[in-house]
Amino acid sequence: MRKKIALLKLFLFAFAVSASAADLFVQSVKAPIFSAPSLGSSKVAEAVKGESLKELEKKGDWYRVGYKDITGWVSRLLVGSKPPSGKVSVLEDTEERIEKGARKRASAFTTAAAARGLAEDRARISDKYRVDYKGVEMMEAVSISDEEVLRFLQEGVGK
Amino acid sequence: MKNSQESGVRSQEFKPFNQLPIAYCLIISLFTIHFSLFAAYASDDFRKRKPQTEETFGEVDDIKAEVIFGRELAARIVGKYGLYEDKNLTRYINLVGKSVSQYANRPEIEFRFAVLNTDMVNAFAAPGGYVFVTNGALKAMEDEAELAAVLAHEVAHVAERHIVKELNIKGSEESPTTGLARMMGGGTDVMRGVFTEMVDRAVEILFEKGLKKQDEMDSDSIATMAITNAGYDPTALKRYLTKISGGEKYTMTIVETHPSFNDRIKGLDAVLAENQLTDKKQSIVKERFNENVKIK
Repeated sequence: MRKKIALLKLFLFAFAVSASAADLFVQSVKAPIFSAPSLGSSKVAEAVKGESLKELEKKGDWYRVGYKDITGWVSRLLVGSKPPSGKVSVLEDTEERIEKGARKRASAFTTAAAARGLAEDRARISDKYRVDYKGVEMMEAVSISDEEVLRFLQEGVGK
Repeated sequence: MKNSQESGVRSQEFKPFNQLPIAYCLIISLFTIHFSLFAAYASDDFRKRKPQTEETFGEVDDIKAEVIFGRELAARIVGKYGLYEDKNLTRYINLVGKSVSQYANRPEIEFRFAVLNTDMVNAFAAPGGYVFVTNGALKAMEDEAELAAVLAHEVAHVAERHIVKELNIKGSEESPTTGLARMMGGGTDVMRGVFTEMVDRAVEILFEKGLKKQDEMDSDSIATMAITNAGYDPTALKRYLTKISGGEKYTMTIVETHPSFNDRIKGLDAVLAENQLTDKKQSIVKERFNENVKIK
């Protein structure tokens, strides 16, 4: 009886440890999970951004994964090995990052602001190609929230 | 007797898990699973802060280097062709582009889209998320699914870091973008010179040499998967390429910098067949496209 109990403890502990090993994280807004490694196969579940999937097997551009109580296939194009991060900007918050960066890796990276300054210096010394930073700034000025994008897609394709 | 009872009680008090092994293991399991899910269910706010922590600062540097480098390239693309300035159209292009870029595995990149003022039929992408489509290409398109496909092809180049890999900037660490970050952080005149040279080489790749054939074929495949996941017609890129392959007057640059249309269409046929998508019916969104794209 004691042996059985010890085995049961071992089994449950091993299960708990394996369940904690979240191998893959969804990077895209949604990640459909299919019954076979093909977009044309039937969809068995849909994970959302940030959720973890247990990697069971890799086959070409597909992973066989465990998700909740099912197993299925997810495209490698939608997942990564780390939780998804927020957007990285070089246009804002540079001062704070400059300070942190200087403490952590002083020689590795000057700063976003300095690099932009460097770029503009360089534009003056390099005349090989014409540059238009105002046009780039116009691109950067367009602001659209994730919610607007989801609503737009929903209205267009019904997803 | 009393001692024996006390001993029994003591035994129960100090070895409770011998009698409750399952509960004990379940508690451990639940705690472990619970904590393992913290990362997955962390709030967006947490994720926004996470890249700024000391442990991941190197990665943030690499991404920032990619964006700053791409910004330089974008300034040259706009410098060559000029922007087609139409606020409504630009907003629409951004909505379509962002819809498909949600299905890329680079959530840290803010993708930005713009129309170039040239009749040439082409599209470009610079590292860090700067994506362009020409008004010549827009004129050749018939629906939103085709636009989504072309933008998704460019998003794939960014997501897979094709230009950065092609430049072959190696740091002492593995990642090519780490090399880029180090180069940009050097701060010496020599490093500035190297940076200039790298930007010029990247421009040559975009305008003259083109990327590797395999990178283009991979981007076609990834774009088809992305638009399918987003809900658009999976055959949209194939339809678009088939259409423009007949009009070489406007497509000389694509011919010079991309694999042949024939090879790309064959490649797409294989992707569609492999994924059983050849006859899959999904949205083309023609009406909204016609309302928003009115280039003469």
